[in-house]
Amino acid sequence: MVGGALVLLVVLLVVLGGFLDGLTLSQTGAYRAQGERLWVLSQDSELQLPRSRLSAEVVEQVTAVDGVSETGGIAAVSTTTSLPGSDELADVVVYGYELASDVLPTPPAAGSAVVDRRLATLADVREGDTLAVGPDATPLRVAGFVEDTTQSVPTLWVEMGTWRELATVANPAGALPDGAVQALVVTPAAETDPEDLAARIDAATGATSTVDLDSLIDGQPSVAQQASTFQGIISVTFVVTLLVVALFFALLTLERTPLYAVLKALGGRSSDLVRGLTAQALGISAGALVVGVALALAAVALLPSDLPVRVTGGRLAIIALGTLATAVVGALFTLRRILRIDPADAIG
Amino acid sequence: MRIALREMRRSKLRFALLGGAVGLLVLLLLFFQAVAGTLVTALTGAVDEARADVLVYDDRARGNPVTSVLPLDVVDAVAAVEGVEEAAGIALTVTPVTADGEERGAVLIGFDPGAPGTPATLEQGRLPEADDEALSSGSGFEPGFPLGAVVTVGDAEIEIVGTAVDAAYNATPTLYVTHDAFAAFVRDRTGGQAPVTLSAVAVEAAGGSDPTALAERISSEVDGVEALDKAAAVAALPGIDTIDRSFGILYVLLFLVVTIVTGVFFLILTVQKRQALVLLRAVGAERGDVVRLVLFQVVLVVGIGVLVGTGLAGGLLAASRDVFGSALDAGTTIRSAAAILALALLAALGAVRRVLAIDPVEATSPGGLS
Amino acid sequence: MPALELEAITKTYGSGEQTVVALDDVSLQVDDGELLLLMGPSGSGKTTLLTVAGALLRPDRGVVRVGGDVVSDLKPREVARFRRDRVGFVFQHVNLVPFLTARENLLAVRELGGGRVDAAAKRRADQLLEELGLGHRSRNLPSQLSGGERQRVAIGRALMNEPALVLVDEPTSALDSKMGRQVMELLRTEVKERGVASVVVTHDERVTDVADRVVEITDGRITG
Repeated sequence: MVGGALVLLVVLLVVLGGFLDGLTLSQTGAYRAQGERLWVLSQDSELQLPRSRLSAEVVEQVTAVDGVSETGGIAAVSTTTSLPGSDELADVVVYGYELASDVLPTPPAAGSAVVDRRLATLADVREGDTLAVGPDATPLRVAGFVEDTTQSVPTLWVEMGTWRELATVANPAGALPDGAVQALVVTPAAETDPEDLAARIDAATGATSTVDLDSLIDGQPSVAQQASTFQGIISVTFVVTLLVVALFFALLTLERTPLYAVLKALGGRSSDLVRGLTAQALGISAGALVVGVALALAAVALLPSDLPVRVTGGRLAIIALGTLATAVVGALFTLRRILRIDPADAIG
Repeated sequence: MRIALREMRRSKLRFALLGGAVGLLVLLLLFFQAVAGTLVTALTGAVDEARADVLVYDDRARGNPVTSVLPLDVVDAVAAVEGVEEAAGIALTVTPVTADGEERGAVLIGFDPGAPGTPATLEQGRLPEADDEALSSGSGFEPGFPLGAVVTVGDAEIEIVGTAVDAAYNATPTLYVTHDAFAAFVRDRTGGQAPVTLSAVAVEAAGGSDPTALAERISSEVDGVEALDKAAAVAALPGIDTIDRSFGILYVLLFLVVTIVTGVFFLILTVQKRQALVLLRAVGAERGDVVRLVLFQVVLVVGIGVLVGTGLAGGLLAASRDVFGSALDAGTTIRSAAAILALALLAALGAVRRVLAIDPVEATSPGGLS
Repeated sequence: MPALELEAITKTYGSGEQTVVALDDVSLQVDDGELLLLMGPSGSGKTTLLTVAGALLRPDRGVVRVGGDVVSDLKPREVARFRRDRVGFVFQHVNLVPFLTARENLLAVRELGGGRVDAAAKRRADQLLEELGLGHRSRNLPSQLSGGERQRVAIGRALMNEPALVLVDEPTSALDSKMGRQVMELLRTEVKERGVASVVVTHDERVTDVADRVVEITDGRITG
């Protein structure tokens, strides 16, 4: 019975952790697709792509900085696309880009797009299919797929010329002048210190903020806010777990007092009892973990696929350790009472 | 119910632990609800607060103002539909602005001051009357611009002549400016390349006209548009559905945990004091007496847990006002508290069943016959 | 009119091949102020008889009357009221609520059935405990009392609601002979003083002189 409540708490923890990671990962896929490159955005953008603009001159200035191996423009526009073979529309972000990476291939031909695998889970999208994108249903041919590049919604990757045409129609008020981009990704030359390079770039232009991937992600206000909110909630849940374990062990100790008295009368030391109790707590919580994680994974699999929940190994490890530790601490709440048990009570 | 109270007094730890667990779960629930509420308001304010019964988007936009692009002449086409009292265009974009030497991100909305689409409630000042004036609104997460501030938007200097409450778009400080000011800004930013377009049309329904029916009529009579009544428009905004569903799942889990923890606790407790209950029944307690004993304790412990949790949630929200800007909503709090109490009583049914199954004759023969 | 009247009581357990006849056509009468000892070996049916007399069990055949009123066919709520107001029971095994003090154990029976614990009830509880020699132990929990003290508290609890009938099941089984004697004498004093009818089940030969009458029961039948 203790296990039951504990299992539910484990499920809650795993789901919370899943939301935390899911939200973060699913909102940063496009950024992580660029790997370890530096990102250059306009200074007044607060590291948010839609607010950033780099003029053609600034682009030239950045490219000319010593230590820059190559630069590529990036621009994004939010819009919708029809799914092949149906009337349904899906939200997407279309990225114009210039440089290939570990995740992204070289930009496809004009009029084609490389598509985030997530779109394929929403509808049966295959290579060669045509997507109708934007308010004017601009046709884009699916040239291939990439993994894990969602930015809350699936993404489409096109070459810059195609992007500009699309953006003029999909977001006229946000269209970029010729040669301008929203951001640049920069590959540092060999043996160049990225931090140094970033500072040099900003000094050269006087109008940019150059950051690495981690800083870019941490700088997204939604990410920071969500992370702290969920961390807080997860911490409180651990405390609840502690209380529940302490509660049940308190209940069980009372029942077992005669047993403990007998054990002590037979020569058992308090330390033996503590060890036994700890072993019990670990046993119950380990069992609850196995069942709870299995249940949680099943539950997550059943959730609608467009909810941002992602269970990661690292998070599961943290939850497992946290639960075991919490269970032991909770069980030891009853320590005082056990230490006070008088073996003489076992007799008469 | 002295017997019930006496028992609780003699085993303070266990009841305190249960109360503590319930209190924390209530804290989580109420905190979640408050933050979710503020988040939703911050994301939907501009639409929710707009003076409009129906909102019209392009039919490929999925109800999202950011992805919606409409030509200017759509306004007249919409206004011509029967049941439309007045229609006005809304244009929306995102841009960094500078105020007080500080750069901030903002949402710029071009609108017809006084026409549909105008925020319904003014907090201070008045609506803009010229191209260098603006109405500002913030949200619980980020405040807007104060009255009298001068904000640099692109090349233009704009003065805040009025403020509205909870009329921000996407939790971002929002500036409402005239269409001319908006168009000038866009021309400037795009180097004159882009056509002038709208993001949406706000519609005021004629008296007695049903907004939902009107929305359907507009969608069918005007080419290339999708019209939604206010409630549908708010629900369609990006992220709202995800928030509702995600938080919904978490609420369910929290309710489940409270129910099971309470139920199991009282079941164990009942099993442990079975002998005492048998005795009481044998010396003349009615079934109702012993059931009341259990239920009284459930209500007391869970009730106190709920009160403590509510107090903690209120305190925590007050302490984090700068971050979340949320507060407890009386109606939601009362409903949640009532739900938790009801679930706890339901959970106690297991214990109640055990109690009702007690046969007082057991007092004389715990082992069987004598 | 006798305080307790058992008329042709029969009670069986089990069915078919497993049927056990616990009481076989038993009749018995106890008057006000009379202390009757019911003796017999294990399995003789003596506790069953006590149980039937106290309306904890319904006989298969026969009638139970307390103070002239039939109690063997009462409805559940009436039975509870009967046990509360007109019978005091001292059990062999479980007698006290472990989380209530001696005083609170006495007051508990007043609270049942929607009753009130008023000043009069508290005075009575204190008085009973004094008489039973437990005035200084009234605020102790059962776990802090000796076996004899617990037994005495149970007697106090049985007398709390001024019953017409006190039924006692093996009061001395867990006590040494000195303590057992003390408890029985105390019981006698209380019973006599209040004019209450009392049936004590025991197989302890040492205390037979305390009773007014000794009845023997074997295999469900009165034999002596």
